[in-house]
This record gives sequence, structure tokens and C-alpha cells, in this order.
Amino acid sequence: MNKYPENAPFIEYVLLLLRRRKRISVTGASMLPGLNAGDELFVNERAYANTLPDEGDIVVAWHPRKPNQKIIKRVSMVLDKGCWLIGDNPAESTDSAKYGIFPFKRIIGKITYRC
Amino acid sequence: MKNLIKSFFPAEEVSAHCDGPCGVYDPADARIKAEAVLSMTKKILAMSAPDPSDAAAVVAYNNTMSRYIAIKEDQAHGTKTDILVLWTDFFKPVHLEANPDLHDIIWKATKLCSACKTTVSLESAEALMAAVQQIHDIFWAAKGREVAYYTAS
Repeated sequence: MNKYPENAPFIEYVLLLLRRRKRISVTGASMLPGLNAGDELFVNERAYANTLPDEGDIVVAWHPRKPNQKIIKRVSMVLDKGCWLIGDNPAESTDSAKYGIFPFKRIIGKITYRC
Repeated sequence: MKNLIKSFFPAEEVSAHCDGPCGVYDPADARIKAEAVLSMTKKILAMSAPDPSDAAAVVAYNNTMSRYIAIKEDQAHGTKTDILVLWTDFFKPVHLEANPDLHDIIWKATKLCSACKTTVSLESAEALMAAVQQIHDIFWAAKGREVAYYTAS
């Protein structure tokens, strides 16, 4: 069962003020049904500084081919050199099924809460 | 209070994306599959039949040959699909004006995919690679970018 981010406690807003969180807005349909276009989320870009992603994490990563485009996907598997990322809505997702493993250095951060 | 804080930190758009709406295309998909077709064709042609009285060798031969054929057919069909997606989804009328023979190039390339699928022809497999390179050149010229053609093998 996929877990979706919950509404943020106030501390997340404090972390945003301290620049320990960033805000992102979802576009596209690949994370339906849990995340819709327009949903706003907090991302912790230091989440994986000292630890690897966990399976089930929702992450922001660099698009493998399109420079400067960030994408949001879920970690399906954690492998030796990177993660297998998939959309929750595979019918409308371009992800590791097409691009293969996302190296760890291409994973930007972890979604923490809704904002 | 939360809304006040949020107003100071605008949200950056991050894509839960799909190739359909975001328009990410790359003829490299077709090239990788066409390379597999060429590789399997060479491997099939290099096989030599074992002594029919050696049952184990015959089984091994049939198994290997079947796998080569299965991959060749699958990848040839995949190459065709990738080329057709570029044709139907990426190329626009303006590209046709710049490349009046685009339809003919695509048609011949996809015909080569069929030939590679149904026969074992080194000539067709090499011609398919050349056709994929031609499409690569047209594609990147259409995008106004210089992207060098290369092969993985």
C-alpha cells in the first residue's frame, strides 16, 4: 500500500524559514491517485546526505534526459548504484521502466509533508 | 501564519511526468534496439549446427538459436514502434517541409524492421542501422541541436 504525505506540522514551516525545506508543486498525472497536479509539498534536499533512500519514499530527481527538469517519483527498489523509480500511476508515467536506474547523485531530496 | 510563510517561498514546479504530455523523444531508443537486432543477426549467422546424434548439443543449439531469434524479433518490432512514435508524435508538418522525403525514409526504415524480424539478413540489419542514423540526423536537426551519433557496440 502506497503511503502519501500528510499535512505538515508547523515545524516544517519553521524548517522552510530556515531553508531546510523547499516547496514544490506537482505537475502531471504520474503520481495519481495520491498526488494530483497542483499539490504542494515540502522536500528535504538533505534527507539523503548521510543515508540511502528507503523503498516507498517519494523523491524528487533530475530528469535523465531533459536538463534542469525535476521529476517526482516513488522509490521502488534501492540497488547498489541507485534507485528504481516508478510513478504510482504507471499508465501515465515515464520512469525507470524506460530510463533504468537513477544514480543516487541524481536524486535530489525526499518529500516530507504536504504544505 | 502558514500562508504568510508560504508566500515568501514560492513552490517550484516538479513534474510527475509522462512522455506523452512532456514531449521527451530521443531516437536513441530506436538505435539501441536496432543495435540488438544487428547483434542477434550476427550471432545467428555465426552459429553452426551440431552433430545431430549429440542430443545434448542439439538441445543447447536449439535453445540458444531460439533465444537469439526471440530477441531479434522482439527488438526489431520495438525499433519499428520507436520509429513510428517519432513519426506520429514528434515530427510536425514544419519538419516535413524541411525534409520532404521524411515519410519515405520512415516507411523504408520500418519496412527494414519487418525484414529484420522475419529474415536473418545482415544486409537488412546494417541498412536498418543506417536508416536509424538518418532519422537521428533529421530529428536533432529539427530540434536545432548538434548531437553526435554513436553506437553502444
